[in-house]
Amino acid sequence: MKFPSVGVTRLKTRLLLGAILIGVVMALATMLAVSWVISEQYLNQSKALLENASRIVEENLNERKIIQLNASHQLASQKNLGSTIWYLGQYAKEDANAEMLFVTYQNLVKNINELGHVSNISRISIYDISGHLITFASFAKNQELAGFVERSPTPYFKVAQLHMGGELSRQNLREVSSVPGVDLEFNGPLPSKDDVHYAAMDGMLEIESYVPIMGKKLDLVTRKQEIKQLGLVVMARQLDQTFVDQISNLANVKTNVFTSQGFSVGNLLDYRIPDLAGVPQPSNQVIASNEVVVSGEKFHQYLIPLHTNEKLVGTIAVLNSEKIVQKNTLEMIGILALIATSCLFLILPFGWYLANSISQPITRLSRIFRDIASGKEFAANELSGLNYRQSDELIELTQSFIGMHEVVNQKIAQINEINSSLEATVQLRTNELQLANDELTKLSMRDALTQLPNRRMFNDRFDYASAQSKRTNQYGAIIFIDLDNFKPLNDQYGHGAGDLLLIEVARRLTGSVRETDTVARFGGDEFVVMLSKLEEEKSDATAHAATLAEKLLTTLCEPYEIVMTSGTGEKNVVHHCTASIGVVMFINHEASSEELLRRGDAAMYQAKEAGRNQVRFFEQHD
Amino acid sequence: MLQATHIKSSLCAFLLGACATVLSAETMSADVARFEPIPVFSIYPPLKKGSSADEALASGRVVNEFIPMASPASKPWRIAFLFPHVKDPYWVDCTYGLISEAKRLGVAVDIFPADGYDDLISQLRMMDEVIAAKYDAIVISPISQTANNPAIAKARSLGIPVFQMANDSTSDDLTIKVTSSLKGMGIDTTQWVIRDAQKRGLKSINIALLPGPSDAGWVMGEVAGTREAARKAPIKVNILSIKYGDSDLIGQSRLAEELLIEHGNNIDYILGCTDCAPGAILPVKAAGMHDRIRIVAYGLTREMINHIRKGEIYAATDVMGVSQARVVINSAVNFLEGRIKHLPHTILIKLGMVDRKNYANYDYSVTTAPDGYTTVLTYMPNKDSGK
Repeated sequence: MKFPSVGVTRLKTRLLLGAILIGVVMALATMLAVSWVISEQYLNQSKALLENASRIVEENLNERKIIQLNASHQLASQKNLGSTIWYLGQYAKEDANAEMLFVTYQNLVKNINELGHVSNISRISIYDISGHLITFASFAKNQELAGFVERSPTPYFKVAQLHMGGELSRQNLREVSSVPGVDLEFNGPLPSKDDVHYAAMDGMLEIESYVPIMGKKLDLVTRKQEIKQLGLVVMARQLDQTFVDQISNLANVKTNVFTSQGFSVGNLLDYRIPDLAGVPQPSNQVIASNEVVVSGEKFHQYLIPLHTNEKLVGTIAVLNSEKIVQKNTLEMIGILALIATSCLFLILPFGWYLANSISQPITRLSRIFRDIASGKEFAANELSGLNYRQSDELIELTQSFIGMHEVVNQKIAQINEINSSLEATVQLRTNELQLANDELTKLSMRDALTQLPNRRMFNDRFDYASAQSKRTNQYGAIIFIDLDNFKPLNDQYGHGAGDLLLIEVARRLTGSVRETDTVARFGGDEFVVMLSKLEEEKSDATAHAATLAEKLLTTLCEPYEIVMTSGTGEKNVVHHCTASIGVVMFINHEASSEELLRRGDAAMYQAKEAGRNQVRFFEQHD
Repeated sequence: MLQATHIKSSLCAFLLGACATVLSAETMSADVARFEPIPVFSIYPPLKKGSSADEALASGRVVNEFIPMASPASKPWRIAFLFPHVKDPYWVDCTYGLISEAKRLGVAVDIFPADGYDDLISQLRMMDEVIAAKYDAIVISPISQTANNPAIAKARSLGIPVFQMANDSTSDDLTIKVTSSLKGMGIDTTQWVIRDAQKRGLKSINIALLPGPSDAGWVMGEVAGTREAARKAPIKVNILSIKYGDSDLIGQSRLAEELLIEHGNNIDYILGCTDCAPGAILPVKAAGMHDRIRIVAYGLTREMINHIRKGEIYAATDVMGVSQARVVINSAVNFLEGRIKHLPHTILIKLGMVDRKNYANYDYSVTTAPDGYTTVLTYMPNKDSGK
């Protein structure tokens, strides 16, 4: 038997490969799982970031509204502002005291110019109670304008470019017919309450506030001074790039501001119209969130609608690029992969050592087993080679194996011994069996009492004699013998005496015929003798048979001395007995055995009937 | 010339005033303050257009007379008063004079104060409002000598008579101007100083002025009066220094310290405006010069009376705010009732002088409100008719 050593080598390789494979698969699975978890986390973080951004936007807007309202209140509640705008509205028309009028304008414009700069306002307009513009300051980045309105002959603006702390002078004033975002007349009835709302102006979204200027006014009927509205302060602050930068920096997101026409300002210039795709129920009333693609880049977005009187004026979108999520995820996977690879490299020598610690003893073991298998004595040092700690189990295994081998050898020797003894016994038993078989055959073919052939053997011999007769054409004869006076012996002395008599009858018959003839007992006191190879002539043969039959008759009728043993001792009985004999001749196959016996039986009965102790031949009556 | 006019007209005015007092005495209720006929200079046209009070005094026909208590009005005329403010005792005293007289006369009064002398615009707006509210008459204490003129003209054009009280105006559309001479204050105050110096036997005195803000009309009047009085003085009066500055206590104290540092040893008198003179008290005391330097004020207040009583301030000129108020409301009612035959252009209330000699017996009812008075800005006769 061969043990391929390659198999052991493969085991080592397999162990190593298996370790590497499992390691790699585990690492990959871990990386996948971790990257999924991380990407989910980043996704959630992204959503949280946008939620936070939305909150910051809302807080920022509210803060702006409060600041703006505060600034408006500060201006509106300035001492005598109501009187001042009344004066400017009234006296500007009358052209009275131009110097005082101008100084008043100068002071007021200086005032709002400073306030606007300090509060980062985009535009301040002051209207009188009739809705006529009195004065304004506009703080557009490219052009900071401030001035007032001349109302005659037709209203026009007198404006000057004013920086922080600047003042109107007759030199810097120039006349213009319009100023962007500043209306000569307030559009609609003058609001009587504080209001802050969103508005769109020249593609920019702005927070616009109305704060009424209140002051004492004489009621013409009651002639009481009552607090009444005297004018209106309109302030506007644009949601400009500063706002966008502020939100983007605070919330770490991209921010776009849209008017209802589309993009206004923002840091995603390619995102022109708010995209509500995928929002379950697009609604302008609540913050919507979805995913959008801008210039091929995916973003998570939150859309914050801005309303004025339930009408959508604009939208602020805060967006977080999925790229960042992907980048962060990939970074994390990269780190994990690095760790996994490092671990793998650390594990490899250990795996090598482990594989060797298993494969080397196994190799040794396989050599030991091979030696044992091939019947050789294995080298002792092979076992000692296993003698290190890691292969304790393997030594045990080997020693167990050797022990088992010895026991098996002993068992085999014992089996061989048992085998050889078994063979002798089998031979003995076979012989005994043969003898028994023979005896059995004998028993089945002969009468047990007299050892004479029984009817079955007789039939065999008849078949043989019949066939012989056919071949030789010689007659045969069957002689039927029935003892007369046999039954009284049995009745008187028992069956034992009868049996002894029958044995004696068998001896006398056998002694009276040729060896080639057959004497058979058919049962009870019936005996049959078959004579074969008689003469070819029937008469000769019949004479021969008659002679013999007579001889038998004679032999049989001689007295029988029977010694009977019993508890009381021996007893001699002499019994006289005769025979009635029927003879029938046969040749060839002219009649069957059964027929011939019936005929012989019939002839014998004739002899009985004729007075016993006689011979009768069967006579065929044609 | 001024003195001669005074003497000629005074007898006549006294008689008229006495008659009026007797006539009106029965109609007055017990709780309404009575007042003696008020000595005034009434200045009649012809006058130059746009004349100030002092110009009118200089160029007009000046009648020395007494203004008696007018009879109650036949109907509750509505009269609007436009004040620069009610933040100092002078204007509060004026409201007392007006309201108490409104009660006596049975007319409705609404006082509309602006927020101060820098609040011309409010006064203009209030003027506009009272014109719109169709008051029967308007009395204005204009913040500006000129800037209120268009508003006054507007009221006049709408048939509303406008009276001027205290603060001067150059408007020619005023019905009557009731004030006191700013220059007169300067003259009267300086003349008291000269008389005091003469009593002390001084042949020559050095004075220093703390008149108030340099650009204010009343300051210019006071300084001009002082200069004139000094020039005409029987003894030599040297004006060593004039320190202008806002009339707050701290600022004036600092100016007084400067005066003392610069001219301390030479100054005999310091003349200061109502709010300026008290600013000099502490520096003078601190310099140990209170025995030599005498502080005199261009105006009288309650506080000033205390200072005089304590000897911290030697004298103060009284512009008689209560009397001015009484005169102006009486004149307005008389005008509305058609009682005035010849309208004076200006009525100048004669100034009073309070010093250590007379302060105990001085009739302060002509200048200040009684103790415990709180400012009232409106009076409706119907409401109080049951009282």
